[in-house]
Amino acid sequence: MRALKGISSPRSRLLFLILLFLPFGWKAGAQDWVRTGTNLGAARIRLAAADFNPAAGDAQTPALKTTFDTTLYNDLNNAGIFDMVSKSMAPPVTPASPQQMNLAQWAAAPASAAMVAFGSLAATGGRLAVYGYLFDAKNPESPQILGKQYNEAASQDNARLIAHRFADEIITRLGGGISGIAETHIYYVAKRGGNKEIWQMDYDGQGQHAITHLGTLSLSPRVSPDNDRIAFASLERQGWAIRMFSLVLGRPVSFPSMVGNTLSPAWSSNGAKIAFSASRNGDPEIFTADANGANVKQITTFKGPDVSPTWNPKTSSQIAWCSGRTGLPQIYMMDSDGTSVQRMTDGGYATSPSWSPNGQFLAFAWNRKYGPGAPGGQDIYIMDIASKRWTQLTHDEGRQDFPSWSPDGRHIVFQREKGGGSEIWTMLADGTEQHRLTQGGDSMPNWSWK
Amino acid sequence: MAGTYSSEILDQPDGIASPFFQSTLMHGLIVGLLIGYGYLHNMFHGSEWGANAFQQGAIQATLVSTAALPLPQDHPPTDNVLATETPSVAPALEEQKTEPLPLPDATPIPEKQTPVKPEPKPQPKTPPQHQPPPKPQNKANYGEAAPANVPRATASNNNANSPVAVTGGDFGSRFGWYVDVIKRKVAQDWYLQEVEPSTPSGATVFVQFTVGRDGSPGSVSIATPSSSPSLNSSCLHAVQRVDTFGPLPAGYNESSLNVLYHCTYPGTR
Repeated sequence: MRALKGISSPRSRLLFLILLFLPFGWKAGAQDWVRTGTNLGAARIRLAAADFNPAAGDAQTPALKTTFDTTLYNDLNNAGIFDMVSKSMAPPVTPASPQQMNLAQWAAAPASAAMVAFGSLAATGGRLAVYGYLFDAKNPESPQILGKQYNEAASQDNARLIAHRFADEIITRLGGGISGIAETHIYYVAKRGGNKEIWQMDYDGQGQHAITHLGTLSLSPRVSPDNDRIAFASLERQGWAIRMFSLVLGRPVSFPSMVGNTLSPAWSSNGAKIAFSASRNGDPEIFTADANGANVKQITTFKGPDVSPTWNPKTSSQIAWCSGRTGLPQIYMMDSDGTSVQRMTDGGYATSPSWSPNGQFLAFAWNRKYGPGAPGGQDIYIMDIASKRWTQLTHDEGRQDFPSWSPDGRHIVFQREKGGGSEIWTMLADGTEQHRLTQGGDSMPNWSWK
Repeated sequence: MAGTYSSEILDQPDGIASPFFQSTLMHGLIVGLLIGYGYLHNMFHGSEWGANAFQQGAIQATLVSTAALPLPQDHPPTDNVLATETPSVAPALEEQKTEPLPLPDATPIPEKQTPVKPEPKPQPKTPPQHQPPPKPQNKANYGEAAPANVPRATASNNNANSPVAVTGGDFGSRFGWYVDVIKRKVAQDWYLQEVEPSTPSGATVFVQFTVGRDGSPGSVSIATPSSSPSLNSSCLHAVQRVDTFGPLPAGYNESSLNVLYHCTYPGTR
């Protein structure tokens, strides 16, 4: 302050104060810089999932550990963004904590891991405690990326649940903010006896169980964005009608019936609207309504069937659907008020559109050379909407239909008919890593939003 | 005059009236058949799933790669200039030489005998000598101390506007995995088909942007353009297509992160 008193003019004092605190102001606004780039894309992350260390616990610990290890490895392997280190190449150690972790061991050949997931698991007093870590093997000075602790009732289901959650954390962290799908579900139609009911399973085909028990034919399930309700078409006395089932209440809830057959419901991404196909005079058209069935609006008036609407999940302002206005069914797109109609496919037999979560792609079933004796079959395709360029994902594996995107946009679930049976399969959105989830008359899968 | 001339011709007794009438009748019949066929075809074929006659709005469908999917592209990190799809013919195996048989009166050369090392005698194990604990010294430690393990984030560059600030801070060394995430996500959204094929291989554009705490990119601009405008815009669009890189690491205390990203054109492959 003595120095400040020595400065006589107020302007000089102000200048002195500014000069005094200027470095602190710069410090407050300082940000780090990083410099990176690409020339040929980026390869997958090489990730090792170590077997978790069985800490002292109850006798059921080994069984829970086996379930946990298997589920975690499969979840990370299915994510589509990792090059997983085979268990046979991993060092034969099970580090339980960061102190026991020897990163050089994992970074060296043959594991050559860039990342390592590890931790410990113990069932004590009916509770299952899991400590999970993710370490960067290339950064021994500051290796920890993730540290998580889970505590649930000790059961096989919870061992799988914790593995799913830990896998999703890793995928979200290393996948650039896109959440993992290990905790998502798939809803589908299961033919049991003479009826078709709506069933649910985990994303990996585990935990299959019935949702509805209506004793009739139910088709095209669509789960709401908040995972609270399922809309589906059910055969009633008056014909096909859209029904609602509350997953929270565990029972059907009311939804107004309309004249004629109503089919193929579809939720908007905000859950406020529902689109469907209704045939009041024998010619199916696309309608929209509020989620409670009010404010019904007809948005197509074309001669020929218009079915299978799907909303753009990014904006909820566009609808793609399947129309027979020009003969064979083709994929079209329009604004949600029925304007700006444009045709997407240029021929063949195209059905069952599904819009990708990022709004960039349409997946659909397409038989490009439709006709008696024509080569090829019905396969799953995806199309870049902006350029209308497409790519074929399945080849020569029977008849595929009803594709549905996973919420991360990296996977597609679809129905495959082969040898007289109908099965549900999943694959990465580039057509690789195809896996069968169910068999024996299961069809029309729909991936949950989260 | 022309009308008079025509009527004179038609008034001829052996003229062309009859063939003209027949020709007109035949033409009329053909036109009628065409109209009838068109009507019947439209009536019975137009409402079927399968006519596929309406081609307005049809598109030129082209097979493309799935570059825009949020999946890693399994390209090798660098081109192997030595690799070729037409490898040269493998060299023939060298013929094995047969050793000539020794003459019957030849004297064999004795092989050198290596001396065998005697095995060391086992030493009796001595019990481990425990060091006595150092005596506690009840005095304060003065003088030069060991360097404190200060997190290097506190030593970040103060002036972000100077050229030196490109390497400012130690984010890259502490959170290398996040830098990899940035690299990977922009690389996934960089469409090489947007770049003019005439762009020279190795052309590089630098784009700078900030990453907010929630991981969203902002303030995207070109820092150093390349000679190719299409390469510049493609790299800019790649960053703009990213919704989020994921939240910044919890251990990073600043409000945002500055990124300088380069896109190097690998050339047409």
